[in-house]
Amino acid sequence: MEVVVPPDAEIIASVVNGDIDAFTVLVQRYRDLCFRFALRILGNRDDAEEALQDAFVRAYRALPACRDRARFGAWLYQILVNECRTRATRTARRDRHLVDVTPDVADPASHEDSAVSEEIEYALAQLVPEQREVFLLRYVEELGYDEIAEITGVGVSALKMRAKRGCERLRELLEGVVR
Amino acid sequence: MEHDGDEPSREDAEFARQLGSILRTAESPRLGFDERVRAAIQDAQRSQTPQAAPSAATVLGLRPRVTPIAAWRRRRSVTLPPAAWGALAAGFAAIVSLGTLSIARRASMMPQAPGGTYGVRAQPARQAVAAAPSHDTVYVVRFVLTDASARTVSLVGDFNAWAKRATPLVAVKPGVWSAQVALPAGRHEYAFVVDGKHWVADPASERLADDFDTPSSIVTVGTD
Repeated sequence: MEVVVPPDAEIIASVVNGDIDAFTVLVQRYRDLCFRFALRILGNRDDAEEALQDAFVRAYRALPACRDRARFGAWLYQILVNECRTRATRTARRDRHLVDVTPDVADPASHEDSAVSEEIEYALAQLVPEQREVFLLRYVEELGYDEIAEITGVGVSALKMRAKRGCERLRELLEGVVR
Repeated sequence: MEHDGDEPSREDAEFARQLGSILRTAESPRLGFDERVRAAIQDAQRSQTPQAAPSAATVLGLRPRVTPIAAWRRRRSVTLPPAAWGALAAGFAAIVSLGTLSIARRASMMPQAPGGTYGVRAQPARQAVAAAPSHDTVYVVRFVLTDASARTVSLVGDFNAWAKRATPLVAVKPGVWSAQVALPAGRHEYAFVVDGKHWVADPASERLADDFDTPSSIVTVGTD
């Protein structure tokens, strides 16, 4: 049996032509990747889900204006990054930096992994938002600087500097935790 | 001051890649996220188009028997401000909004149905309230169930062949589940299915039990 995966541009054309249900395909396609970014940047699941939901709604409403439909993913990231920035500013007063991970305590190895992850999450939360953003896009999502520049609207040289400072800070904070 | 060409040292970059690989674990939103996005899009569209009253054809074009997806697609035809509804009701259209206050077995009490964003606010009525009924008219009925511990809720009835997956309710706020369905005039039998297995009658509506004592409820639309 052949499984045909329609490209983003084809799905977007369907959505713009009135097939609203087709948008669900895009949601399912990008949901987990985008959620991971939102979760790491915002630090808790509630905010991450809300930011992602709002990003999808904004994307849906602006879909006819998406010029390069083949690069919907990058366009969606732009919206999500903006949404996360807005939300992070709004919730800055809340001291909720740690991700509410639920480690599998039944498995000691898994528990140990979770402890390391939490240390990293905590260190990540110590970065200024601009450094955290570029670190996540560069080293977790593995995007190139040009792509990150397109998504964030920040120049490549500034991004590299932010990455440099962020990496140095993380290394300071996590020396000995991660080898 | 940020200088062109500055970037992480090789050691720092290697360390960052190591962190990245640890953080690159799969993460997913909670169950029902897709449905919540869909509901949010619906809400956004409602708030976007309240001023435009649909044509008569749009309203009368609703067929009596609809699938949930089809009903969702046509949502703009029923998202009108009260004034527009009043004008339409005088001529050829009618809408029924049924708010059902259901307290499921595990649910916390809730004194009222959630405030609707529709032209007609949900009422804790036992039966539908109709205006200007017509044989060609379908009625948009809003079903609401309050159940704080439910993970999924769906609506089953004679209008969707009692199919458990046909009409999922969406959590419009924590513990409050809602769905709107276009129904033709007449008497309809329905029930809620909580977590895919518990059949729950709507205590705010007329209750019915079949030969196997399966709980269900009755909603009558399109009659005075």
